[in-house]
Amino acid sequence: MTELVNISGLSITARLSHGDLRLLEDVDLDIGRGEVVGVVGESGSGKTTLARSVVGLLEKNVRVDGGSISLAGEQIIAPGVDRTGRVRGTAVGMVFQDASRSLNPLMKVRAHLAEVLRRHVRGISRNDIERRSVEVLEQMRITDAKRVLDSYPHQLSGGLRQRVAIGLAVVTRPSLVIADECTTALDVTTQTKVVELFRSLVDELGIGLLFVTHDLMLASDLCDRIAVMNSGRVVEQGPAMEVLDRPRQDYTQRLLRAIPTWS
Amino acid sequence: MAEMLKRGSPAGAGRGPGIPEDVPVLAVDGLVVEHRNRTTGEVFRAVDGVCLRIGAGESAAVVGESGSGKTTLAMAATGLGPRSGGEIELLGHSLDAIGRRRLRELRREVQIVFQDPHGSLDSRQSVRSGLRELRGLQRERTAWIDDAGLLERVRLSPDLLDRYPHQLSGGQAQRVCIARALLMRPRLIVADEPTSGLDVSVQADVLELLREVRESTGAAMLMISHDLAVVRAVCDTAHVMRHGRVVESGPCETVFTSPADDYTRELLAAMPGGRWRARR
Repeated sequence: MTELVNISGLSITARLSHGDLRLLEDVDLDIGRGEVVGVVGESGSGKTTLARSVVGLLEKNVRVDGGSISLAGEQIIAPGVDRTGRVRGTAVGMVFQDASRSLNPLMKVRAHLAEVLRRHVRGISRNDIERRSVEVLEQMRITDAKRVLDSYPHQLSGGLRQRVAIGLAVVTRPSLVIADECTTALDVTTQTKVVELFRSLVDELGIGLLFVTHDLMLASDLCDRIAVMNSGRVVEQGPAMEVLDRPRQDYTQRLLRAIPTWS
Repeated sequence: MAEMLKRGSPAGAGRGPGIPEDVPVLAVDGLVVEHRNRTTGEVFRAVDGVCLRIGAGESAAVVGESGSGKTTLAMAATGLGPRSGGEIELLGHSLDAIGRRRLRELRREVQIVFQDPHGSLDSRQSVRSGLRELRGLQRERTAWIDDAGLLERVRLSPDLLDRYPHQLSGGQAQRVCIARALLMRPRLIVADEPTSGLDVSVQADVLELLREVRESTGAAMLMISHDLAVVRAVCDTAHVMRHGRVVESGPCETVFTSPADDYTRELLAAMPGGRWRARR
């Protein structure tokens, strides 16, 4: 598996009125092409900060004070360096938790896709926009793509909206997709379908996926590798099944014990 | 309003707080809840002929996905939401046969814990002043325990009494909500997705607390959840809902280990962690 993302020794600090707060501490994480890496942790563990740092979506009072992130061999984040503007939305796609808030309620799905395509594909023709829009929705296993293109976000179910959001993230053919708690608001059966969709997209397109979730069990269904975060550190990482079978860190063991069991 | 108060049912009015232990806490028969769209006139059946029985001290769960009607069912069943048809008996009293005043008394036997604790607590009131307000409503009923003792019951430090909701973590705030429900010494606790907004480690503690509350108070519980694992951790019986109907009912053990309905099987198959569980 060729390496796509390399995060090395990343430390990030937020400046607050009452002092500095370490958000990430010496984080190492790699993502390969065609690989799904799960970042699992509880609220405040730093998993969202880690995901957002890859695309340069950090708050103004937050700075990188150590380490670096490289995408396909090119450094995009380092202290005083932020080259994420060039890759955000093109080489890196993003999907967030609440699709209804990532979509503009006043725009039909067709306009969302057209806007992204026009911005990222120079000189794209009208016909090509339509063709690629239909294509990407079909890739999202949406059977009636034409109807969905003509719908406003509120006319779609939560699961369908999230599929559209994923479509928007991959329509520019990125090499990396970052999904932050993107199935949390969905029902279990819908969640399963979205997870299956992600798996097949990763396998078909060979993209890398950084999958952020609070749900260790969900991560174990989808991910090749899992990184467990606590207090801004990656406390444990490894092949998904290995992390669950033989958790080496106390925190991972506690997290596993906290999950209601079937026995 | 005064007119309504006077119309309390004579049959109910004579009864003291002691309600026999052997009657079911809640018996719902053929419950229907319909919503009419005001523009189109279309009628939507949110709850479609549901029957449900919860005995004293029993813990029942209603599971299903969003929109299946589980919250509507719970609200209507406890007389807190609209009902279009069907019979409801709360602690042996038919909701149709008793007056508003008696209904209000009965409702005190039912306490609800909602999903979002911060949404249920008044942000301008400290924990202590919120409890004072509750005590003011029901002096005798709430005299059984003091504030510090009550917080201890939900394993919170009495130091938190002077905190405001925004100074509490999600888990602490949910414990405060459970404490407020306990203060009323209810016969039935309705818990609507009580741990959905909490981290797993906090969820485990709150579930443990709910189990403990059941055992120590003998209150019955009606839990609403989309999470089958949570239900199995706390409840004796499960009712699986889909499109307003109960598609399967039974002891949790039976429903979850040998489901009879296709939809129950689908729900079980969709539970995260299947890949890992299959290896063990």
